[in-house]
Amino acid sequence: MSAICAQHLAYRYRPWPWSAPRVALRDVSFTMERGTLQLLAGANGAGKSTLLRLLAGVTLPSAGEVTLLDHAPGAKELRGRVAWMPEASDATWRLQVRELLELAAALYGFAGAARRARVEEALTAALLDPLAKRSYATLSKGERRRVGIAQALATGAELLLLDEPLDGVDPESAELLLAALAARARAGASILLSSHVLLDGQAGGDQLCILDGGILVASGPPAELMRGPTGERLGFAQLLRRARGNG
Amino acid sequence: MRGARFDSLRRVAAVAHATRRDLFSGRGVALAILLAAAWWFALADPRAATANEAAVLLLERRMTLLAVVASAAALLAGAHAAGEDRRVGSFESWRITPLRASEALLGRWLGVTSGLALGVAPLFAWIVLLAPGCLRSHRDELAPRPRFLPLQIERTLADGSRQRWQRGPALLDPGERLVIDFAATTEPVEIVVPWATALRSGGAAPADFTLQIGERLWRPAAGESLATWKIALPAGPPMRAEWHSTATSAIVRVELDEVVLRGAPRAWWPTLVRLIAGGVAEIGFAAALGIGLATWVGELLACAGGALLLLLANLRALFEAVASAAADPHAPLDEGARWWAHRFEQLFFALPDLVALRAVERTVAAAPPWQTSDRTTFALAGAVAAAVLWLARARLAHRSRGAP
Repeated sequence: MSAICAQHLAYRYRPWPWSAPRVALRDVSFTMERGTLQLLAGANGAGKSTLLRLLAGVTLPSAGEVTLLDHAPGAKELRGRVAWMPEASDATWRLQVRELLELAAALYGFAGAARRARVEEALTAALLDPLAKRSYATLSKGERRRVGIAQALATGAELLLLDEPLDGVDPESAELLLAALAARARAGASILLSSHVLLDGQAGGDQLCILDGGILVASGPPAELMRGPTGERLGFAQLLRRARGNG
Repeated sequence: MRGARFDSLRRVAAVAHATRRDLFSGRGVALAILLAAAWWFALADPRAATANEAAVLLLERRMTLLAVVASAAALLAGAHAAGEDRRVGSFESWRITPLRASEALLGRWLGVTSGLALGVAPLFAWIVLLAPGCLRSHRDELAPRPRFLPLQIERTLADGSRQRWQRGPALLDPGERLVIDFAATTEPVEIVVPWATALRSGGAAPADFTLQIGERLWRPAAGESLATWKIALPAGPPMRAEWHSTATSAIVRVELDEVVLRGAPRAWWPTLVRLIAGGVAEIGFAAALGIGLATWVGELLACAGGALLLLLANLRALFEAVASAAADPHAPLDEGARWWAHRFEQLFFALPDLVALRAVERTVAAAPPWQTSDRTTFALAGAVAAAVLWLARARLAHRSRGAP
């Protein structure tokens, strides 16, 4: 049973109506099993956010097919089963962190004690207990990304699509967050997480996909992909160069 | 089905609650500037000849100012809420949740409207009931009475010739008559008749006339030369008031524009409720404009566009001038021009009516702007707000497709 199945996915766009199309994704095919944590890595502009937008059903592909939990993105059957954390985090909300999480849980149908329990659980998992009463507008970039992760966790969705959730998060917190997400995956959730900087030597997860210039250049278990020719662990930049075939 | 509806309501309530808690986030400075300007304007003394006139002007200014500030604040808050959602991708990320586009917009709209209304309603009540020059000291406008204007006024000159009276005060020379006809009334009323006597050469003169209504006859008291009679009358069939000047030298001036039959005063609280409901409706209208426009364009453009629409709508005097020019039978217009002028009036009067909601029924002929409101206006405002939100919903439901 796959959580995501993408076949020959392509996305082209015109920056202006009169300009030539640019390719953001080209012939991307991959499968993600249910109950796994999959990492999506790549440099800036590799097409990670575009891929996640296609999976979320926000934009429609130029070609190819994709199914999420056996349904097309945007299908009615998926409402409430998928959560997407977009990339932007510069909102000026004055709402407290707890209130934002309560809103996320409420939108997914949780009420009363169940909602409170979800929120508490998500706050703890995203290391946000001390910040629960802080206004979102006063948080740092890394703290805001943690709020985004907590919002996704509070929904209780089966499939989480997280776009750059670790951007700006300090290494220690990032390690703990990855562990929390892995635990959620072991509990049955499927999580696809994109990042342009993965922690050296600590890239957890069950699968790692590497995008470069809109093409899926490598995929496999992280431990295998990140092992160098002499058995040493590769850094993220080295991994990218090797995947491109020039490292 | 009932469960699904309940879930939908719960989602709308959640978004509305979050919106209300987050009103003006990051736009507090704009609101502070708006309030400071309004406060400065509200404190300035109005130029008026009498204390009563000053009180009325002050009341009118405060009511208008509060309505303008509330509309501008609603526009700003609505545009900010939707603009922020658009900018940071909330609308997009909500698309994957059980929250529908219509629920998201309804929640935002309810949040902005209720958040502002909770702050503005007490201010409306304070201005109407407690502030200096409030409506409490102008009972007739706070608790409007039913008014029955004359159906026809006819003046009979001393030589027996008759003329239909249109408007303005009537100056009755000795021996002249004035007949004022009213329609039947369904409740006891009082007739209000302001009059004064004067000599042609100037100065006060003893009054000498009679006023007859049915079988009853009234005469001014000795030495009386200026008064406003208020005579109680029972409900009944069509009524005729007949004025007969019996003086030899003095003329009688009757303020015909103010001659009216008045019913008993009504309760004051429906006026207050309508006043506040009108204010809330206006806030809701501006909030819908702000939210609707900000889903299509940026926050700044949405504010500018909405403000322009509200400003246009407030230029009622301009629309009225055009309409009255078109309605004038002596205006040099052919039939085609008249038809277009009529359509113009129909089209553009709708807009001013939308922002003239905050008020009670028109109780006097020259009613101030805060005294106009009716069900049609409310319905029209609701329809426009719903249409704007519906268009915004269509925008949110749209998914872009990659180029082939």
